[in-house]
Amino acid sequence: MDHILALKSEIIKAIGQTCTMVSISVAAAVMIGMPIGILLFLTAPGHLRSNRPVYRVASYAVNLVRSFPFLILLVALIPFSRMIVGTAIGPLAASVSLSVAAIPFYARLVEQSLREVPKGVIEAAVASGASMKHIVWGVLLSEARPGLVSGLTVTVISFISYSAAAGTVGGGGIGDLAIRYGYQRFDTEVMVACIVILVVIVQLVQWVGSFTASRLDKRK
Amino acid sequence: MITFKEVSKRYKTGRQWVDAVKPTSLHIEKGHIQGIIGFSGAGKSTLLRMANLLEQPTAGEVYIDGQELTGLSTGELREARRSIGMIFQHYNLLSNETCAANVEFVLKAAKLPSRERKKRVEECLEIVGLAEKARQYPAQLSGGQKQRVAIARALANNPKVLLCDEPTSALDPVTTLSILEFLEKINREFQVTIMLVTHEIQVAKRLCSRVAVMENGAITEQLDMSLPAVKPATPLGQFLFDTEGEGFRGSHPGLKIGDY
Repeated sequence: MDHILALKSEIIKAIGQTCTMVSISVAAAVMIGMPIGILLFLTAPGHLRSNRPVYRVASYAVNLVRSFPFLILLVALIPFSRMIVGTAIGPLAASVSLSVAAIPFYARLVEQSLREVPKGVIEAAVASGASMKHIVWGVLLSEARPGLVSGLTVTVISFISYSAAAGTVGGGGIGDLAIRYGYQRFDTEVMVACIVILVVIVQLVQWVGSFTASRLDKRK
Repeated sequence: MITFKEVSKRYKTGRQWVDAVKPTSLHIEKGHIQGIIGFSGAGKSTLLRMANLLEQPTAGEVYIDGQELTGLSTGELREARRSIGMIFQHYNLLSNETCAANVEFVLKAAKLPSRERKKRVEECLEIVGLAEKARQYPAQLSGGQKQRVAIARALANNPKVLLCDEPTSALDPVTTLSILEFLEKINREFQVTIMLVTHEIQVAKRLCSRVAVMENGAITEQLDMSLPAVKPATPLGQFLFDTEGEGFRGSHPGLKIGDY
């Protein structure tokens, strides 16, 4: 126990790093991934702005990025990270790769939740003469709200776990701490402590996510 | 008010071409309630959905109040759709929005200023007798109440035309009657021309001034309900119009039941 307390500042720093990486990548997922998800939905065959070439390209790009094992993506994007944040190491550099992975991840989840919106409801909006922008905001995003939040919860939790790999590029974070102390130095105590922290964080995120989603769901 | 000129709809399912609606012409006078009756697959919903181009006709023209919809740009069509209300069998309300917000949606679509929107929402919910449900969500309402909210929504932009796609087919007979009374009232008080698709003869008899019988993608006859005695000429028309319930009891040599 004393041993863990001695590492207190390092653990707190690691939690901060995890939070930084997850917040940045999830923000990118929402700001860029969500519009891509909407694009995928609208351009899919038989949908509102059906456009086969656009859908094909967007869908292919999403699949391409998603096929990479994350560790490989992380290393492959080192030059890109250097270009964006000026450095190839540290939590910020890792956030670039995490964002690149999170964007298509959430885009697919957004596309899926939009597909759950009943076609008739969209049709009623079209029949009322609403503009595309109004349909996207007022019908699609509003009706898919619970699904979008559940998808976001899944994304946050997945990227807490992905961020553990960020240690490879000196990204730090609580997962990296567990790997460095527990796996590389056989320091079981620190590893267990890190895992307990991760379990608590994940439970908390899931609880908040599920609660919010159910509050937003008025379908009963 | 509504004119279909040689409209048809053809689409491909798998490798086969299907003629959902064969070239059909129909004219609906202002203030009338035109029923379209027929069984599933007759093409009646497709015909109705061509009235606001939810379904793009393969050929032919559609006119609403003298304006040719089939020749409009996307923006002009949106504009034109604001004066065409529509209600559906499954209501199609926004489930995550309150009743008031559902009505307000179409007013926003018509770019009405916020203060006028609030007032109009209240008026419309008042017309359908649901003012006190304004802040409730559709899931908290009964089927009939949901359809009334849908009617309020369809009326919000003062449409000239109201399209009804099997509006009572998911409702029990008593609720059906109350919805029909609302539609009647709307037709009478606001001079809204109604086109209504149904497979229930009672609905057509109660509400419509004209009834078109549709079979295999074509209108086979048009009946004037204002006449003292309606005498259908086709076997399907006779089957439908036989005195209440007789249709199921008598024999109908001309009607090929196996076709349905």
